[in-house]
Amino acid sequence: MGPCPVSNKSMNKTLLILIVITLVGLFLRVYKIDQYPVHLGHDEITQLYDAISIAQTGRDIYGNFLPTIFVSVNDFKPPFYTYATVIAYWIFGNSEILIRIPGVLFGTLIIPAVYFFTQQLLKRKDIALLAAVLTAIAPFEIFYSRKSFENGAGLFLLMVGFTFLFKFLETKKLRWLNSGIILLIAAMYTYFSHAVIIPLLFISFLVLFRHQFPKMKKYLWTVLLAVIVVIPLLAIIILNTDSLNRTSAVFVSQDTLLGETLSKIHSPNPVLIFVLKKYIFLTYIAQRYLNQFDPFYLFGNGLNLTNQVFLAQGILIFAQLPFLLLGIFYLIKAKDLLANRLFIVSWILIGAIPSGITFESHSPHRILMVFVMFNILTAVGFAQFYQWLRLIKVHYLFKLAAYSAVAGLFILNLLTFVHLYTVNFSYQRSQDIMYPFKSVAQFAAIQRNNFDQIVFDPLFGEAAPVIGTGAHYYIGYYGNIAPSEFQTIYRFGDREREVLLGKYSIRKIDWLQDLDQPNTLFIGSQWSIPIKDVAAEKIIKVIYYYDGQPAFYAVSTKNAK
Amino acid sequence: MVNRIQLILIIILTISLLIRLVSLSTPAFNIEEARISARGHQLIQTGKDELGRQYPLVFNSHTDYKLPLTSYFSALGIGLFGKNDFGARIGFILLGTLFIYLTFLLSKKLGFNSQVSLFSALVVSLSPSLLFFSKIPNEVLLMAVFSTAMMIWVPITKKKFLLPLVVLMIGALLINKFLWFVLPALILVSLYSSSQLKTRNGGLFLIGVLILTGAILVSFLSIPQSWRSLAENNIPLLATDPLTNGVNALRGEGLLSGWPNLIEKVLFNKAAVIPIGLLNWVSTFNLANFFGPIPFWPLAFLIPLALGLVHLIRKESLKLKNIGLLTLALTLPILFTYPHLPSELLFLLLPIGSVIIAVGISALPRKILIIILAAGMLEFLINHLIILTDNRIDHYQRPTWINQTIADIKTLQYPNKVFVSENLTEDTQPFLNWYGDIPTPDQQVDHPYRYFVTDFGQVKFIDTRKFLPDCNKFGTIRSHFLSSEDYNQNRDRDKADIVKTYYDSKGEPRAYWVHVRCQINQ
Repeated sequence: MGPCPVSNKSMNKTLLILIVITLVGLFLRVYKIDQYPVHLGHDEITQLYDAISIAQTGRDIYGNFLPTIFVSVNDFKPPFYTYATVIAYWIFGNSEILIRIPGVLFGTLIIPAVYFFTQQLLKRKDIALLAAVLTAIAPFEIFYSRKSFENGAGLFLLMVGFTFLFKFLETKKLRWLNSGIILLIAAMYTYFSHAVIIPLLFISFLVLFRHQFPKMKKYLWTVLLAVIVVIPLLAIIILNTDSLNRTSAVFVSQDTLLGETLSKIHSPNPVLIFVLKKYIFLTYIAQRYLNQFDPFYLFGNGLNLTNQVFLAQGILIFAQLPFLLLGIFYLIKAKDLLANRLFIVSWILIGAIPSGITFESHSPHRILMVFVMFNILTAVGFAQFYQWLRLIKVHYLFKLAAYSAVAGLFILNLLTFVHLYTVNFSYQRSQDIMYPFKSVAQFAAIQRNNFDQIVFDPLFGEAAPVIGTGAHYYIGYYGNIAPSEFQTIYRFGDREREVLLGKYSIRKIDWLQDLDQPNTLFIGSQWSIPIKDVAAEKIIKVIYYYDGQPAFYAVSTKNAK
Repeated sequence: MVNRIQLILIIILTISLLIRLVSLSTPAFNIEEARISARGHQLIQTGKDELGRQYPLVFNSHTDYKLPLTSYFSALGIGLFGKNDFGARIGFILLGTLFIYLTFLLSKKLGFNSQVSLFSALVVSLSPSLLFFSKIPNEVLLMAVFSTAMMIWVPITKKKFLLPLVVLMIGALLINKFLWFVLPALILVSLYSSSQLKTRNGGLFLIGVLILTGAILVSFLSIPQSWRSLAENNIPLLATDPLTNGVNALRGEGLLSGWPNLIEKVLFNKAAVIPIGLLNWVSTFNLANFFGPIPFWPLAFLIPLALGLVHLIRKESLKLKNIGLLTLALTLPILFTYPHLPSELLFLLLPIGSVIIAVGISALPRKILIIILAAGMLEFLINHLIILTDNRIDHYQRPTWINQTIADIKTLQYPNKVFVSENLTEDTQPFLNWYGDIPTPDQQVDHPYRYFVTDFGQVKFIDTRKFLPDCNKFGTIRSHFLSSEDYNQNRDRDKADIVKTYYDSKGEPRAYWVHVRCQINQ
């Protein structure tokens, strides 16, 4: 797998191809961005409204001045994406899709970033281009780029950072090292798990490539620079209790199944209990970690786009599977670039840690860097397949058929993804992104002056009831409540899970108790309001799920005329 | 003269046997294990199974039809050593020990040297899963022993081995339906690997296997609901109702959104079983499957497992090819089992996986090798402790307290009837058979497929979730055995006096013996 000699002409051609690939990737990320996903999810609406609040008042909607951690919906979000949206707000002004701009931007920039990273890592232009193509069309890349996900920015900075470090090894110029380290530290600011992963990955880089580092005295300045840039991050992580809350809230110890298993441990001997608990905890984490590489999750249903048992969408394209295996096989067999190949292994093993130690069985958003590497390995497999097919002595029609079969399978898989994402995801999973909270908030805003109070119970669900997240953000943003006003009127009420925003009360509806509330508009689902017992004329509006089933009923307690 | 390798092997086997004999009554039986033991006892005593059939070849359970070898094998142990834990388990303990030796032989057969083969035996002897399956009556271990033996002895090298091999093969085909798919593939692969597929003898042998398997399959299909049994338990992916429903839902939503009908048909159709089956098969190799609650190997062996694979890919491509083909044959039915990954098929990979780990261990530097082996042994001991102390045991699936409960039911059943909660366990019948010697009444059906008996004459299983039965309806009711769930939910609790509470090993109440106060009869 030696490096290819590159001429200027060839370089220009490559850059042209890369630009085309990037444009295709951009198209797949921006096409009908206002329609798909069909609704802003709670992560999007919270960051959007907080960003506007910061831009207008310098405070988040709860009144915290330039926070380093956003309380949001008690999930304590890292600040990078919200502040990036603030910049977008200053440039483009207020709009729903504003929140998706940074995601699309970094999700597109990752395409050339993957190219340059792969070029540095494997010293092969063809593999780098193939990796860029796969990144441009990868379902997980498109999915997360379009849903305003902060990890995309971190991933981009991570790839570019390590590209610079490889460039340093090649040129021995300190500026590449310094820029690379700054970018890596910047990536640590974007997402909490990166603050742990990137140092580990950097250490593995240092160990694997230790012989290629030139001996210089100027490293001292680099270390000093790194310390200066990283200190604020450490302050955020260590001194801010909110970030510690966030970490403990998502740690695997919150897993109910693990808790149940540990509670079953019994023995009269406390030492034995201690040993068994520790061992079972360890094996549980190990199993969860290994499960991140479950092929059915990776290629079958990892993106969770449908409710179907059989027909779903994996993180990667199913047709990639044989090429990924071929790529892994080839890299194991290869004889050169040992340190680079080991770096790929450490990238995958370290990258899977965050998803392996959190409370959810799978958190694809925490493991994106591993999926990116899988795309690169698939590209290696493709290159090997091409080489094998080129050398094999068969009729050219056989080769043509083989290429056509692969291309056909890819097109079929991609078309299926487009269908599942644009059609079935909306029908079957849009409830997960709080559809139709936007309609509820807009309707409530229209009715604001007609009632003394508007009560909204976010308990909803077609199959089973769940309490929707971030209802006050939807009411605030779509109800056109200025962030400065929101900061002053927001408070907790006395009723169960009650948040008050002036006339709005977001809380549990207890119908028997609430029935007599005068001149009030209640908006609730069938789980909150016994709709069969409500007179038809009292129901002034029905708000539907995407599939046309009733989601919320707006019931007025005004006397019927 | 015993050489060093043989001596170490004998030590490994002896220690393994002794470890299996420690605390013989753990783990407690689940319903299937109790059923196999009770059936074995009945077969050896009367020649009939629990449904009153003379030496049947197909048995029944509450989940599926069961093939006969495991029950008859269990009968052998009970016949020799009596109706007790030792008799029920000793056969499987010996098989579990034999399995370690078979793994050693398999490693040799695959072309590895004595050191790797010895490490293979050591690795498999440290398998918590193997330890677990060696201590309970089950067909999983039998499947693994027979399939490993087939991998070792096919192709036959001498004619005198032909008869034992045919007997072995017939035995294998009478353990579990999955082996009907596995064995022909295994033999095909073995013949191919040894270049005997194209020879006359090889061809004849394969044809013989196919005919034999076909004959057993056809005989099975003559039983009522046999197709349903296969479809539900062995090839659920091809029982296509959920797939059809899914296809229709996705297509319908597409049509509503304006997608052309032709594209809908191209994108979503029943051909989806191909990628789904393939993915299910590839998912077999998700390492999490092998390092679960009762792991195949200690976690410490993850490193040599990875190293072993790398070593094989880089340096032993021929051995890798043979291992790959055998693995393919052993796991072939998983192509059709989605949404399940049958644990019995995964377990068949234990010896091959152990050989790969042994290859990795052999490639380790001495100091690291010692550390990893020591960690593996420590983990094995911890797992042994977990099994011995009933930790991680689901007390509903594997009730440790049922023995005493059944003893009390048996004492009380005459002259008065005894009423037992339906949900005392998942299916209490086998426990009544095994621990109480209370026979199952004749069911008047030859092949009831899934069956669940509620009326044992003097002992009746009833639904007592909300209310205890009316005394008038049943006459003189005295004793009820309530599950803790029923007792806690029962609105008539004040009608009942607790006579005895049955606790699991953790000290949690699991069942109650209560006396019901019947006003009329007083």
